[in-house]
Amino acid sequence: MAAEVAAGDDEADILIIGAGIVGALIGLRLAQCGQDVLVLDAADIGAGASGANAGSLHVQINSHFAIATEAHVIRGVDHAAPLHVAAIESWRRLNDELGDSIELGCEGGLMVAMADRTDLLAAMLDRQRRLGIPVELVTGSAVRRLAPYLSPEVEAVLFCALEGRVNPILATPAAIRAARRAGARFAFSTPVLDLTRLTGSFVVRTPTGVVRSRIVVNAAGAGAADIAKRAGVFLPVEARPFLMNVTEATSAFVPHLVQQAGQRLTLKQARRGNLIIGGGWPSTYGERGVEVQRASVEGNLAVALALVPRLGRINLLRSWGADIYRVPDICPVLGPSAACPGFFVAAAVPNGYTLAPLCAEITAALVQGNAHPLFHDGLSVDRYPPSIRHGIQ
Amino acid sequence: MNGCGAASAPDGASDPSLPPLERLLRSGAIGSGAAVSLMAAATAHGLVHITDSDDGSPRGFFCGMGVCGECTVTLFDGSCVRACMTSCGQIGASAAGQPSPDVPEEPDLLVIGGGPAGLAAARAGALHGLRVVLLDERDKLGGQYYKQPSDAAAGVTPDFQMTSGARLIADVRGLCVQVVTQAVVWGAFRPMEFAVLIGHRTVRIRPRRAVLATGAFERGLPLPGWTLPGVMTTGAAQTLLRAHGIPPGRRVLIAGNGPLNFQLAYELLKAGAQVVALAEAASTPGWASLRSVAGLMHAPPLLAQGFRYLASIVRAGTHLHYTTVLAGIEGDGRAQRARLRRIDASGRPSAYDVATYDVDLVCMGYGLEPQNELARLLGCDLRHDAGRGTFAVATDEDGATSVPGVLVAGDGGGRVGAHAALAQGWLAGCRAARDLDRPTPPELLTETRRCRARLAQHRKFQSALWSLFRAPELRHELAAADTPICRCENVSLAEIEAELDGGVTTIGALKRATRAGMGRCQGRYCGPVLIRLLATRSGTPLAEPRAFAPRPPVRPVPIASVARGPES
Repeated sequence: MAAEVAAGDDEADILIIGAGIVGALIGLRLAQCGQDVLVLDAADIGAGASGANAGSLHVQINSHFAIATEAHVIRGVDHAAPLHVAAIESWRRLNDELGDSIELGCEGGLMVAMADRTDLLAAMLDRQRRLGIPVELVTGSAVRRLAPYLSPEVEAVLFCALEGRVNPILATPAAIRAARRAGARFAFSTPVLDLTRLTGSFVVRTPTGVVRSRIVVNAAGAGAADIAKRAGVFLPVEARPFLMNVTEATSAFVPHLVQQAGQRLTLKQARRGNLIIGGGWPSTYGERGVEVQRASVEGNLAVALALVPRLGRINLLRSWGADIYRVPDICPVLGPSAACPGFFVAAAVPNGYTLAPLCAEITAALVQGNAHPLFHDGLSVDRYPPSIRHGIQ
Repeated sequence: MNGCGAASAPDGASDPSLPPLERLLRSGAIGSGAAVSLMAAATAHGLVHITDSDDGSPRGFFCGMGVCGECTVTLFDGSCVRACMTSCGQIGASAAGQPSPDVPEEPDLLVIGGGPAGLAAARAGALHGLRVVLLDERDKLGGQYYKQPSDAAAGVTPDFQMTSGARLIADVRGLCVQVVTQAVVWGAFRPMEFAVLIGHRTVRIRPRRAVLATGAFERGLPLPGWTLPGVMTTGAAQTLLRAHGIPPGRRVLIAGNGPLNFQLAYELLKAGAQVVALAEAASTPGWASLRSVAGLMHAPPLLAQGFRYLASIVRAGTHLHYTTVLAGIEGDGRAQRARLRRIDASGRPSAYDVATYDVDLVCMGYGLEPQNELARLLGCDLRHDAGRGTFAVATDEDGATSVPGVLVAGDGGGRVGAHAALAQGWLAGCRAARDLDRPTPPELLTETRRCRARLAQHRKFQSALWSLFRAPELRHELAAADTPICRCENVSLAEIEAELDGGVTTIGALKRATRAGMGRCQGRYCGPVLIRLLATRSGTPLAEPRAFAPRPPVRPVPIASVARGPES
């Protein structure tokens, strides 16, 4: 795969900023429609969240958000839920289309609760069903049959057959290759220094020259707030470096994506046998990039170990920090900005990798002036009026 | 791969799905009473092919010092250990759990590594009245140079290195130093906290000062056949022979660069093995070397030792090839033949083999890489050592790094050799004491002066030595297109070059694209090769450190030993 740097001035009808999974797939969809697309990336392939995340495909609502009481989170979670359900189908289509192995597997996911949190599970069952998320409550001995690897202290789980995993370090480059085959152009190591909107066009300055385009799509992931600001658009994306851990490979014994209600935990086993453990434990930004915090490693593994006792003897191979990003109302931000005509946002939150193929389909439709059945104002960047801006800062 | 936790049935001795090393373990042929390492015990049983890699390729013992991780084996209790770092006595003890010694969590001085530098640093610290904790990953202090014989190695007659090491160790143990062996420092967190696996749990140590004396490991030099069983590093062969009294092979070819290979040849011959050939990458010593030899007079005993090695090699009829490198190793499931080629000044091998030998063991010793992961995790600045093509921690004369309180001594800070490491360790220990308002007492000042002089002298000696052994800095030059550059994930040179052709410009992108560096050795073997390949492609000098980002754990550790809930 060529990772060329933009040489000198360039021009494209549609300029996508960010060549992570979201930007690459928007490029793919637009190029397939015959559009003239250029995708810029500040760094190299997979340097951001698309290369460092754990590849969980989430459909169930994170328990912390499920019980949040703030009105904007309740609304955001309601709006995001149907997208998560539809996103899995998008991944399946994409998987068939890409031709490369991306280790997609949807053997289902478990939201697990110890005895003290079964109330939380009951509340989540109810809310998720109302939102159209297909979940079933499994209790007692049925839990042992479904997931014999779980601790006997697990009383109940919510099972969602749609959930699964994909391997980001395979899928991100595969998406870029597919977009290239469809005719999209990519330029890596090409950060945006400046973005100016003229009448009917944008001028984007990079270290190597100036790119002119009619439309700009902001798919810059953790850097999206900064790009939006340059366009005069308020986008409250917040970068959060999260801890990820991977173990040595072991024989397959965890087929599911496992989460725990009331705890920060996601756990699954990759095709090669390595277990990937995360769930939102903080890392920090240091002088030399994201730094792993001891307390986070210890805490994250303690939660995982309590749930899956067999982990105890398995060796931890590596821990790292991934640039995950969030918006305060936990819901994708998509579509055109009223404040800046021609400027589109594609921020796939809260589960960027899960939502990427669907968000790309929606964005590609909107950029071409078409409607998308799943898009509505609740997903738009215009939902952040100035009054709320103060509330979430 | 020898999957961690793959199987635990004690009756699996004949289960063909288990790796050979695990089958041997389950057969009961290896007694759990012996103090030798599992590696030594398996080698004594004639086991060469110990496991298979993910791609089905057979593997043997390679590094012998816990770096490559290829000898990882599942014990009866399901835990996964490195056979080269685990003594047979630990097999049974593992399940029961060993009590962790009480280690002070805030000592004045923490010394990591019990080789010459670490021992000297601990001694200096203790003589200044500091509370010192000395940690070593092995069950014996001494490190690679002093390599102390295992208790069960009856056939080992202690040599000069061992006896001088034993004296220093006794000295340190006699002082107020808390020594903890089999202590695996798996993480370092800023500003200065170390996570140490002792027994079955992690102890956090926050010393006031730390001396990192972690030494070096042998560079991996990818060439056709280098992953075959029966190919090991010079250091691994030395460990088997010197520490355990077990000859690693009968017909041996040694290839590499530098005096260690000559020492190994001498020791193998003494043990009755046949050393069919020694291929040295440097050129034949000639008139031009006279000045180097004169420089070697800075350390007469070492020079005499060198002549002794050479004389015994010549006497034994070992073929000595200079300006020659290993071109390839072949064999059916293990090393059986080794081919040699001449190299030119740029390190390119010629098109034709100069010799082929039938062998049962090939030892490779192509130089050392500093073990600097802990220093990097703590944020210490690195410097590029152009002469050796490595990145070393930048230090002053006393070993102080760019991070306050963190000192580095010995080969971990760049290749200095054991004698200079001794001096550096002493100076680092004194510096730590000075920083803690414990000035060096007058009676110790002589030793400090002597160390400074010795350091200067050994620098001259080292510089003369390496001008005698000057050879092209080899990285990928000997690899064929299908040679694995990354041993762990089996990533070939061709796969890496395809990504470079595609325009990948950073080591992180190369890692994500190919998986090179994602395996058990944590990129220690492929990293330096990838850095060189990237620099060559981009045409930029190797001035900037751009190694894999350091990540904990620096050694694989069981999750149970790391996990710690908020309540504890």
